[in-house]
Amino acid sequence: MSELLEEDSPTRTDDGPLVEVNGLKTYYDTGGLFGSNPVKAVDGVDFAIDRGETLGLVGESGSGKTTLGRTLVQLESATEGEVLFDGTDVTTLSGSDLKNWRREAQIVFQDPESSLNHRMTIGEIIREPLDVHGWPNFSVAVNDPDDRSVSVSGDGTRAEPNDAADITVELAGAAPTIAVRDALAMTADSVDVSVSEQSSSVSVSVSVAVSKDQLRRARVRELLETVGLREEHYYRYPHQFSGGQRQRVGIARSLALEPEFVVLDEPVSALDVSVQAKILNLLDDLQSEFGLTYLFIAHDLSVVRHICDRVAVMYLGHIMEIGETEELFQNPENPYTYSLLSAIPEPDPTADRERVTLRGTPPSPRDPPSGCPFSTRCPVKIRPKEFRDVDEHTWESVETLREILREREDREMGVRDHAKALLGLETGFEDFVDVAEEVFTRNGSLDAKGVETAERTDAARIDGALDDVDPVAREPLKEAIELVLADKETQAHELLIETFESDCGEQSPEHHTVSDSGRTSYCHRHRTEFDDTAVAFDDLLSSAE
Amino acid sequence: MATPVSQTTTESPLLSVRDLQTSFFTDKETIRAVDRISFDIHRGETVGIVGESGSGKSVTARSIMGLVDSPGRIVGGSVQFSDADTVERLAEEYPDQTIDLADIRAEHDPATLIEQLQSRGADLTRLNGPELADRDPVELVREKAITMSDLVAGGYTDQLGITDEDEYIVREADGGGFVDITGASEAAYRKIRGRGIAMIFQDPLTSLNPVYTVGNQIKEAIRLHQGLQGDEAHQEAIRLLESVSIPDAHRRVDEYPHEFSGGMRQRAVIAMALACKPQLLICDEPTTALDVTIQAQILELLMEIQEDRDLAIMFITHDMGVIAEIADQVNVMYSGELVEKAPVESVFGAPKHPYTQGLLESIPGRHPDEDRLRTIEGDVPTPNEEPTYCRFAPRCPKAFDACDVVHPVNVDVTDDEDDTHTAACLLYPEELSENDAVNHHRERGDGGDEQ
Ligand code: SF4
Ligand code: SF4
Repeated sequence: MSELLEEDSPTRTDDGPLVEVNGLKTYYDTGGLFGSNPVKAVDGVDFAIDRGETLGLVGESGSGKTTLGRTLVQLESATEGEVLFDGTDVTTLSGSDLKNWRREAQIVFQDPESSLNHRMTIGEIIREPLDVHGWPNFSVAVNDPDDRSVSVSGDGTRAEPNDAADITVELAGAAPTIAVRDALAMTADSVDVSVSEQSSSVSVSVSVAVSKDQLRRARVRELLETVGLREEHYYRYPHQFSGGQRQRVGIARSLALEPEFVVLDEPVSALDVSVQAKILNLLDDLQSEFGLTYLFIAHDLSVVRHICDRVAVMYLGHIMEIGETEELFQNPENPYTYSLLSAIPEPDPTADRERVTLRGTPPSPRDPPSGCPFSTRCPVKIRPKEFRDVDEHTWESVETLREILREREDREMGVRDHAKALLGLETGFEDFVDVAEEVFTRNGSLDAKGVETAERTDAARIDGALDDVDPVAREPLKEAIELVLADKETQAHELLIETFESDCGEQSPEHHTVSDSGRTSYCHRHRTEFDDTAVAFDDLLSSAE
Repeated sequence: MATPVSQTTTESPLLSVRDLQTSFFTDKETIRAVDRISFDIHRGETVGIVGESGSGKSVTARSIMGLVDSPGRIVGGSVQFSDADTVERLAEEYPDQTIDLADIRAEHDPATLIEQLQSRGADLTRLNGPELADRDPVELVREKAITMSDLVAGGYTDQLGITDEDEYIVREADGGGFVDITGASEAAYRKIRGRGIAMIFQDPLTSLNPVYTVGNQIKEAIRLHQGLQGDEAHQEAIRLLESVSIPDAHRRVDEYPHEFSGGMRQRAVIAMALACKPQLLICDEPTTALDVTIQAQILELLMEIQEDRDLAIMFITHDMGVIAEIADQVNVMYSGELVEKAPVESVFGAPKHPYTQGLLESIPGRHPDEDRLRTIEGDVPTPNEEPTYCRFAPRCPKAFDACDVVHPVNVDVTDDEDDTHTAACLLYPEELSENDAVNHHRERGDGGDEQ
């Protein structure tokens, strides 16, 4: 590590977390339409990963989990916040400092198919990082009982204080004793050291009789064996391998430079279950053998439950809940975690679960909802007092109507509709009576009720549809629909927000500590005045019966 | 989950696959991607097909749909589709390839035909399944356990020169009958696809054309299969989009596939399939590319649609969780063969085949207190030769000597009276001694008609 790094990390300790993330944001400003917002892929996250720990990161596509993983290993640059690795903020590194640090933090990708260069042999693929980083650099640690200043010349370079040196020279005694690190396939016999000592300084000249090329080849062979491949695989090509074997190659490559931290980005998602089991066992073995720290990104929650010590659940760039795995799976505190777990199909046909199916898809990270990111889909969103007891159908319909208005407003911004609006053409609200009917009618449309088309005026149709909702909600809904029909959809939307919105859509929640082990959850329900998540879901499920 | 199985099994199946064999021919080898598999699908029932990559599950689906591309082709077996509407439409179009059962009955007596077959030493195992194979066929005819329809379906009337192999449409006066779709020409397949059997794929973009609006594509299907035009078709398209829970269908109908999210596209494809009013829907990993919350929505939707329309569903997946959720019956495939077949509860509760057992064991979470996952050694072999042994033997923890020299056939392994549960493993039938069991498989060895 460089001077700069040393200054930044004077207090390296082995018991603090290896990785500490504070207020991290990663935004993309990619193209899009004129004046569009950046994609807020990671929107302010804080967490830490302990040494030797496996932290799982789960969430749906668009949750930002992959971007977060890539930001941790500096494949994406952070927009704001810091990523402390051993106490050093790696978001500020550049040039050779960054390159040196990269040896410590590697990533394994989901798709072994596309992440391996098809024109290279397996051996070359695994070896590439060794070549790029000039491995081994023959770093030399000199242990001098007199503590003089040391200089190293010849094939060797002076080892940084925190590094495991390739060659260790012990100066006590008549002749220096030499030791070579295990990862290098050579013995001390291949190293020749000449020492010239002054009263206040020592210079050590090192010459190594084994070529780096030989050592790299030996290292690759060793890695092949480590990940359960065979030596003869060295000269094969990726296409001759099965998916599981290719993933082993990806893992071997990521381990080549002996990292401390590995981001595993959906490493088994593309594999069949029997192959997946083998790779998961391998990852487990490697972790204990090399003391690795993992960030395990996955959408398969049963895999995460098996392999992770702790789990972070992401939604729209935020960590909704983070804590110890078993505890979180058995007793999710955050409504999003609860919903996500509920969606996993269990490999047990006799399991009789009450499932909560989420409505819709996650909103765009370009334009996330205000307040809680989950507020547009949360099945137990907090309601304003006066609507707390309305039936599910009414509440769902209100949410659906709001979603439709929100989406249509977004589309208004699209080029097509923008042009249409400028030309004074229809923008798609003239069918709103149909929409209202579809949204509010409980048992199908008026067709199903057998009302003749000719007898239906707009007003009659709206009243008919609203017949099926709770009387408390009828007035504001009717007013909103009429506003839309009068081309005042913005006012309509505002009216709905004013009437039906609660803290969930207005205020960002806090990360409440929800268990003795320090689990946190990002949700207003943990405030004392509200029912907590489990109670809210129980109510919801019993009302659905 | 759909209809209880006991209710459906008494009816005759909508789709009946018998000894289906599809191979791929390359310079190097012949890959027996689907190697003589048999199973049924009833109306209102969901039959799951599980297996790992290379097990042949997708080729099975493509064989049924007539979508096997060169160098692959169906080389044996039959796929009987008993949908009256399809039989009627095809019979009208292809009278020369249609057999009228009434005509044959008028001229022949099934018992006589069976005696003729016996005197020629024909193999009669395909008559109504192995259970009846050992009994006296003449008696079976009298008991109506074997009918003329069975003789035609089994290809025996072809053997006797009464019918011709080209005649794949079998019409019954009462609206019964079937089409053996493996005999259909591409033109005939086009009449079956969509309206008879529809298929949805893992990637919805396979089925959607990027340059047309979603609505126009659905309207095209409506026009072709329901004969509706103009505003009527438009309204029907909106109704279909609503029925697959696409919010704001009025608006969405005019949008292009790229404006839809992944889950929404899959819904649109399902709507398009429904526009054809199919009897059987084949789903090939339809939720594999989707997030779990969206997967849950799609599975729920499929179950609703099934209930509304009494639709038969064949659902292919490698995800045991999904299978547990959606299937009534499960077929487990390994290396081109069907190795276990049972109601979903039995497959998960009492798996019999060592492969099924291994597959279930390797799912994380089966043994929560074990640190290591259980695995199956080795990889799935490529089925590139006639199996004269058990294809799972190199990986099977229970393999014994006979496994290398005797090919296991599917035998009854039912625990529970009401089920039908079969497995292709020499360890069964359990009540026989190991030796007797092996002999049982040796004697029963399928493919007597192959030599
Ligand atoms: S803050 Fe509100 S919307 Fe967000 S998860 Fe909690 S209850 Fe749901
Ligand atoms: S037949 Fe033999 S090798 Fe095959 S599954 Fe049964 S025990 Fe195993």
